[in-house]
Amino acid sequence: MLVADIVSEVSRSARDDGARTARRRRRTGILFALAGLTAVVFVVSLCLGPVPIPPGDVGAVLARALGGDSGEVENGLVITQLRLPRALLALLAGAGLAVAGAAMQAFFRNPLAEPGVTGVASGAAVGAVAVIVLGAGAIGAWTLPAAAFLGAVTVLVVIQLVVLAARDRSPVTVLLLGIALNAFCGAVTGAIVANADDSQTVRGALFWLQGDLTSASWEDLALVAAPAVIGIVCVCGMVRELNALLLGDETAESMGVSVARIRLALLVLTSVIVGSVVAVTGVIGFVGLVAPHTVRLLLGSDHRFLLPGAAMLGGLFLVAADTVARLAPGGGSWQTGIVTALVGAPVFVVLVLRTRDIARRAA
Amino acid sequence: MSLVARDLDVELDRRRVLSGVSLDVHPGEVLGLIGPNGAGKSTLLRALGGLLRPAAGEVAVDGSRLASLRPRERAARVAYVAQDTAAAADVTAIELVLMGRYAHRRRLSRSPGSDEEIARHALDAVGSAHLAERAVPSLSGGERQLVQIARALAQRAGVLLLDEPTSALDVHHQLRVFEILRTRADAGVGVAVVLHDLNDASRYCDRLAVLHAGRLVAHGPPQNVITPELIAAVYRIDATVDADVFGYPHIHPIAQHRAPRPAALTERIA
Repeated sequence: MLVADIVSEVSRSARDDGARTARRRRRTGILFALAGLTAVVFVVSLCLGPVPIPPGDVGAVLARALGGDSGEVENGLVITQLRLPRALLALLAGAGLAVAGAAMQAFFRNPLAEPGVTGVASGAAVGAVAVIVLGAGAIGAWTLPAAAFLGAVTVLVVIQLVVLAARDRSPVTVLLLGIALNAFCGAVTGAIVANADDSQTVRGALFWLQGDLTSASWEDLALVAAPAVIGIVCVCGMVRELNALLLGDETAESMGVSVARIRLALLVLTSVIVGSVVAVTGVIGFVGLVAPHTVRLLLGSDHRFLLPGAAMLGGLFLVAADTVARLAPGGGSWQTGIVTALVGAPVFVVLVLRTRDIARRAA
Repeated sequence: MSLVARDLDVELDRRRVLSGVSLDVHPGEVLGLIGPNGAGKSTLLRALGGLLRPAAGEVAVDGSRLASLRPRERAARVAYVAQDTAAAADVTAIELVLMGRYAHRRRLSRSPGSDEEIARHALDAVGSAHLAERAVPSLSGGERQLVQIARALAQRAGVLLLDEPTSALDVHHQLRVFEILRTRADAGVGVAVVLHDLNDASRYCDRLAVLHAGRLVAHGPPQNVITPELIAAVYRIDATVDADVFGYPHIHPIAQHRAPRPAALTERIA
């Protein structure tokens, strides 16, 4: 090798190492920034509401609550009994929906796949509404998330079967399927609600269906925390397999990934997450779309960074959306799902245009 | 490492695509799979890689049935490069090549430095070290193809299967790929490659296997396989065959057959 070659090789490798380190630092920096921002938005959400509470008081209440002393602090109960469980639930639900969205996008290799758009959340809603209206909840609180899980998994299996039968997992097919499944599940939910005995139950079910955190309680959180967290952690443990799926099933399989097993695991885990979240929050759309896509723009599609980033941004987005919903103009209260839809629908349209653009260029 | 396929029948959509194919991929050789469109070349390559389950027959690598191996064990022995490499994973080239180390890594362990070294070496071997930090979607089709080959090389398997690896490449890069395949074969790897260009196949492969309508109709060194009679029967064209400047058979197509292929002719070759 000539001296010039050696020099150029050394300088190239130094340049590569430099570029690699810089990219790693940038990604880590963005993840830390997201974590910091999430913490800030979380605290702000505890301060804001019909009764504004200064951050100092929030800090004091939290410190006392953590110390086990529930002593008398002005508005202490507002924070500990209303806003804290609500913000924690929003954080968990947002993280869960974002991770489920990212997993579904890898599963269907389709940028528009998301629990709400594909009808998986509506499927979960059918199960949950059936339990609420038919009063099966009396058997035990777990029946609600279990029924929602069954609804979610049923819809996911239907999508997978149709995609396999049609040999087409293109965005258009999955979206059209989503329209059909959302309509079908909506009709079933409507029929169940319309035939309910008690008008109070009907109003509650309808309000909840739109995606709402108003009545979030510690009991709700306790009900879904375990399945949602386990689901999120397990999906995050599959980053290498999710990365391999980006290269196509055949290539992933040739690299040693057991594609069928991974797909089954993703199917179950996504359903567990969506089922448990929908069981207490109702159908909140677009979080699984907005969070992963924004993070992809910032960090690329490597799931080692994408999943934690999407989880944080999803949590942040839903906490912020819920806070905005609480402070809705007109003095009333909006449902959280309304705010996520107002932000998410335009993002979705942009994504559809971009996907069409990519498809046209590839053709 | 030798790969042995015996009496393979493969069905796709309940349609018989391969019938009774028996074929060996020996260590140290480049085996070319040729045949007209729809002959079953890619299907055979996928079956050799254990990526689809044959309806009958079996594939074994060094005596172990592929079907009995776990996916990671199989991937440590057999690497595969698909024809379609359009997958637009937004990762850098070196990250994609590193994914080729999946079979050698334990769950949840960090990538050891040696994996990174192997990945860089593989990228260097395909002459694409300068692309290491480029995002894959920003690469040209040919560059992506080379990165995918590097990914398969990083798998360090004893058998390397490639489906039309030169289809998206210019002449310069085509030569590079054939050189890489030769280097790997010289290092003891068994290489099987699907090719459309018969002259490339004749020049760069040690042995050719000719598929027609799902059957293996001829196999052997290019000099024995590439004949006007076989070309006429399988590709339905008239062609002359002479030796190129290096002494390899070289085909000059003249005209396509207009009349339907006589069934007896195909039978005779088989």
